[in-house]
Formats: sequence, structure tokens, C-alpha cells
Amino acid sequence: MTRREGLRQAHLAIYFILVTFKYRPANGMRRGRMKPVINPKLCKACNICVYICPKKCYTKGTDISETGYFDAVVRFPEKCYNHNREGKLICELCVLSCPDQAISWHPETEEEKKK
Amino acid sequence: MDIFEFYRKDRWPHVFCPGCGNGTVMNCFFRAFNEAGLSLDNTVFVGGIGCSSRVPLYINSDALHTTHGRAIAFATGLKLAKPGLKVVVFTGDGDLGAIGGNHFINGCRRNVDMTVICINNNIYGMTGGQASITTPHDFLSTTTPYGNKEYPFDLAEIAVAAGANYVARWTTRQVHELTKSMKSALQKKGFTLVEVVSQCPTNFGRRNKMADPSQMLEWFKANTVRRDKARIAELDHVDLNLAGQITVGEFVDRNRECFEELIGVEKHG
Amino acid sequence: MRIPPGEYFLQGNDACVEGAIASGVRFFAGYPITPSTEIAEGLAQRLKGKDGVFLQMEDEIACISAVIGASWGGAKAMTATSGPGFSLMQEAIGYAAMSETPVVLVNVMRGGPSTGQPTKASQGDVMQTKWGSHGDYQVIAFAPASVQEMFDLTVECFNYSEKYRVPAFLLSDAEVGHMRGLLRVPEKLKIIDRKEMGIRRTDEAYDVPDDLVKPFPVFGKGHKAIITGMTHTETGMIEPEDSKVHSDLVRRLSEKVLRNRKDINQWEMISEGSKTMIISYGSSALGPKEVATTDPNVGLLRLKSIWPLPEEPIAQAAKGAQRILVCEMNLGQLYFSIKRVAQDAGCKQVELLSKLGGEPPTPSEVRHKIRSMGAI
Repeated sequence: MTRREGLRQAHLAIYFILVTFKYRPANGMRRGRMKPVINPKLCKACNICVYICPKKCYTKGTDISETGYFDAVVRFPEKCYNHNREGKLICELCVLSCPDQAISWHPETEEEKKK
Repeated sequence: MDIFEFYRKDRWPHVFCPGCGNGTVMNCFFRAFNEAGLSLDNTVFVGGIGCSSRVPLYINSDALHTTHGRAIAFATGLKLAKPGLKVVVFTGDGDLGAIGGNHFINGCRRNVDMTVICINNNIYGMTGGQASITTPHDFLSTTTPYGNKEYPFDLAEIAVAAGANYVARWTTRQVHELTKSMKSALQKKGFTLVEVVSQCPTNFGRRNKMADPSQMLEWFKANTVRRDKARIAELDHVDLNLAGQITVGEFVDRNRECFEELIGVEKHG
Repeated sequence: MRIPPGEYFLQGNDACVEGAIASGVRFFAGYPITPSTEIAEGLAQRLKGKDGVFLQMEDEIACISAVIGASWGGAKAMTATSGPGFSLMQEAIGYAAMSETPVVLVNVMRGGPSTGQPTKASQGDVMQTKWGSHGDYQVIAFAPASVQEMFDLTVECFNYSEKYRVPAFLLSDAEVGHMRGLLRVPEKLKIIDRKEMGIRRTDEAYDVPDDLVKPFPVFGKGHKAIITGMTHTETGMIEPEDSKVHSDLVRRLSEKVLRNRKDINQWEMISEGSKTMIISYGSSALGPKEVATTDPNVGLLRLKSIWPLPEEPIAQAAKGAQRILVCEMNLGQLYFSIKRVAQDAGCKQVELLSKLGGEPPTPSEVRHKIRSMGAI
């Protein structure tokens, strides 16, 4: 590689890094997938999320939580509309409908991404 | 702003029943409040008495928990004494339309700048399930054990006739439209009303074969008629609220002068 | 905007308006009711634009509710009514007592019960002022007997309601409200404002200091105050199920006023120590005053404060007296409390001159009665 080509490669590399940095995912979320999480301290097992989700990501729970309710379960997080959106949420029916604000969005961990 | 910033953390979780629509209304309200760019420090929340009127006590802001039915009268005095404050009233169907009926219609007429969120669950929930002025005909409650012989009010239409600047009705099934309407109501000057038909599975649903919150939400969906999508001729045949159809949508959006402008205090306080 | 110092010839109700403006009232919500309508009309003329807000509400319940709301918005607020309206306002009065809201309510008493005699005087709402709302609470009430006192005691009502965060009442009646007389407006007036809670000092914000009056949280300044009529803790949070919280709260609200009785109570004593004493208040005291000033053997204790009951001056008057006559324009409301205090202090003969029909007792009626009691 000549010196000129080397410089050009370096310029391109720097340019690439800057562009990637500029177009990184918003709100400081890691470049990754999102999943809904039900807070067991707040869920009162009303199952509105089970009813309202258009992709049927939730199911009724069978295990009793520490607060005494059969909390709903996030059975199919990968079916969620927001799953591959990398931070940009387009459906929030469950978050808005949950009367106890028990549902929130979290980035998937590394293990879950591998599944 | 994170939705949890709106709540008093030492009071969470709230005491509302599992599946109560109040929590849904709060979520949509905070989303709308955030989008409208308002500040909690400059807002006062006023409530009457009842499950819906307990909502101000959970918000991380100044709250005025008043006597039954008089929330709009308190809010009128509060707003005119300090016009710089944003005043939001949380009330219920009985609190607004039954005992508070006189203050409701005069509040619309007077057009003081405030936003009223009426969480209409068609029942008196906090006291155990007595019939309300919006309980549909023939439905059961503890004071109508043989079926409600009276016909319900249409609170949104009353507000339109009385002169409110912005009136909308949605159910808790239509969360996105509800959020948008609440945002319009918060941004509009004058008396604005957003009526939310909400589920009370414990005291209304359970006595009328809809004990599960999902059953009530399904019932809302099945009976909802959207105002902007229905033909106007059909609306003449739509019965009063819930006696067959729930008409949802924006009823009126006008710009009558608000009371502060009329008496010249809007720049003070 | 405030009336300049000097001498004026005014109606009682108009003097009340002047007293309110001099105190700094910035919000008035009223409903027309004889004989208090002149107060609403006077304030409708004076409160406009920057000076304040006047509202004619749809009913008396809306009036008192708006006044309480305005007080929480930081304004000195007042309403005026008479018997039927006063009965409607009772729930909100209880709310003002429980939430510790400073409000002033003028009750220009008229013949009752019910619609009664709209244009004639009575003193039939005296007990209702203290006991009208459900539950135990204390209020402050004054009874003016002249046009000058309509001005002075209105200012006192505002001062005391602000100082103690309690509803204050001006128990006028159709006679004093509609009589015309001399008003002398002084150069300087003592005005007291509420103790405002400091900004962002929320740790000491809910302390209960020695005078049992908590600092007043002004809305819109980030205090995140909760104001409620439900049983609440020191921080304002509702706790309806806790019996100790409720007991402490109701006792504090009562103690707050009773402990400061010496500061609040006002009265006028003529010929103290006489064997024959007349105890009266408001326009009923006009006839007895004539008797007491012309007859050296008869004394008069004219109560300017009605609530909390001024027990000390009554006991003082009863100590040296052989007989006491209580003059009231009702069937005996303060009479029984006065009788209890007087008999405990040593005076056995306590009788009542009860005048109904709308006119205050005349001097000759009073003289006739005390002669029948054994005086002279």
C-alpha cells in the first residue's frame, strides 16, 4: 500500500467512525432490541395487556407473585412490533393501557439477543 | 420525561382496583402533558370526591382535594386568583354531572381557562356501586337492583350546549386518540372537557356480567361509534351515551373568549 | 383604591365593603340575597381589572367554594350572604376549617327559619355559625353594632382568619347592615397577612410550631402541597383509617383557636361591677346601651366577639352582679352558654329577653324587664 492509499484508508476510516457515531441510536440506548418488562411489585394481574396486545405477546400468569397476584407473563417478546426497532417505539398500547404502570421497555441483554 | 417522574413515589402503587381505567387515563394524561410541554411546578390539580378524584393525590404537584361535586367552583376561584397557574380538574361522572351539575354547566358557560378530565365509569364506584346519572338504562347497580329505570346523561353534549371551548369523548380502549385529545385540551384556552368512558370492573362490570376488565374493554370497542367516521344522519339516531352506542370523538373545537380575557385579569398573578 | 382617611356617612354594608378593601381583599364571590346584596354590589364596583376579581356565582355553594379556591390561589377572599345562603354553605365551611383555609364570610342575619323575614333583623344564626357544619371545629365570629364596627370588625375578621388560618365570620344583621351612620377611617390600619411557607424548605414545612398554625403553602411555587378535607397527617397525606391521626388533627384544629382566645376576644364593658348587668351583642345591644349609659345602677357587657365564646369577661361581669339579663333577637342561643358561665361564676339569676319579629329590643322593654327581675 502506498503512503497515499494509506492516508486515504485512514481518512475513510475516520469518516466512517464519525458517521456511525452521528447516526447512533437515539436516547442513549444500545444498538439492540427492546423488550417489555412487567414489574412484579406493581402488576395486579388485570390481564389488560394480554387482551390489548395486537401481537399477543403476553399470556396470563400461573405463578403467584410476592404481592399475591398471578402476574401476566411476557411470553413472546420477539413478536412485539418494537422488537427490532432499535429504540424507536411505534406501538405502545400495553404501556399506555396498563393501569399500574407496570410495563416498561428495556434493551435485551446479550444472552437474549443470541436466542 | 419519564412517566414515573409524574407520580409521588412514596404513594406508589396506587389503591385503585386491578383493571381500573383510572391508571390508563393517568398514563395518557401524562403523555399528553409531556407533549404539551407543561411544567408540573406551575400546575395545580383539583379533584372532587370519588375514585377518579383521587388521581390528583398521586401526582407530584400541588393538589386540591375538595368537597363532592364542587371541584369546578374551587378551580374557578383558584384560577382567577392566580391566572398564571395551569388548572386541571379530575372528576367523575357523578361528581361532575349529578351533584356538580350546576357548577358544570355554569363553568362551561363562564369559560374560565381550565381543563376538566371526567373519568366516566357509569357508576358511583368509591361508595360501592350505586347508580349514576350515566348508568345506562336497564343496567344493574346496588340502588337499581331491578334495572335502572332512568335514562343517562350525555355529558359531552351538555358541555357543548353550555359553551365549552373544546369537548371530546373517548374510551380507555382508544389510548392514542385519547392522548391526542388531552393534548389539544391542555393547549386550548378556555373551558375544555375530555370525557373518558372508563371501566370499573369491580362495581359496574361485575354486576353487569363483565367482571373481567378485558370484557369491559371489548364491550367499549363493540359499541363505539366514531363521530368523524359515522354519517351525520346516523348520529341523530344514536341514543344517549351507552344505551346502545358510545359516540366518541371531538365534539366541538371553538374559540369563545375565556373569562380571564373578558374581565381583564389574564396578565396578572 | 382604598378609601382615604376621614369621616364618612355610610350604610353599614358599604362600611363593610370599605373595610374589606382596606384589608386587601382581592376576590369576592357572591350571590344576591337580601339584606347582604349591597356588599356584593359595592365590591362589584370596586374590584375590577388589577384591583381584584368579582364573581356572581350560580349559587351560594359555588360562592364559598370559589372563595376557598381563591384563598388557595393566594388572594384574600370573602363572600357575603344571609340565612338561607348560610345554610347552604355549611359543608364548605367545614372544609375550610379542616383544610385550614383563611376565608371571611359576612352573614347579614335576617328573620328565620327558612325564607322568614328577608328585610328584618334577627340573631338566629349565632349557634349555626359554630355548629352548622358536621363534626367538631372552631371558628372566629364578630358581631358589629354600628357602622364604625362594620368597618373595624371586617378588618379584624381578615386579620384573624389570616393569622390563625381559620374561617372568620362577621355576624351582622339587617338593622346594622342597612343603618346609616358615621364612619371614621383612621390613618393607619393594622393588616396581618398569612404566614407563607418558605420555598423549598420542605423539611420544616410541615412542622407544627407553638401557636399550632402551620405555614401556608402557596400554590405554584413547587411545594407540592396536598390540601384536603379528609383526615390527613402533618404532611398533608390522607390517612382516613388511622384513629390517632384523626384525633390529633381535630384536637389541634380546636386548640389552635381556643388557646388564643385572649388574643381574639373583644368586648365593651360599661359600668363594670354593677349589681344589674346586661349582656348582649350586635343590634340587640343598642337598647341596653341606652339604658346602661343613662342609669348608673345598670351595667352592660357588649360582646364584640361571639366565637370563641368570651368566657372571661362574662365571668368577670357575673362576679359582682346579682342579676344578669341576656338580650337576644332569637329564642335564646347564646343565653344558655352565658347562663352556664355566669352561674359558675356566682350569679344565680340569669334571665333572657328574647325579641322576635325583626326589631331590636327598645330601652323601655329592657327597663321593664330588669324591673321585673327585681332591679331598682
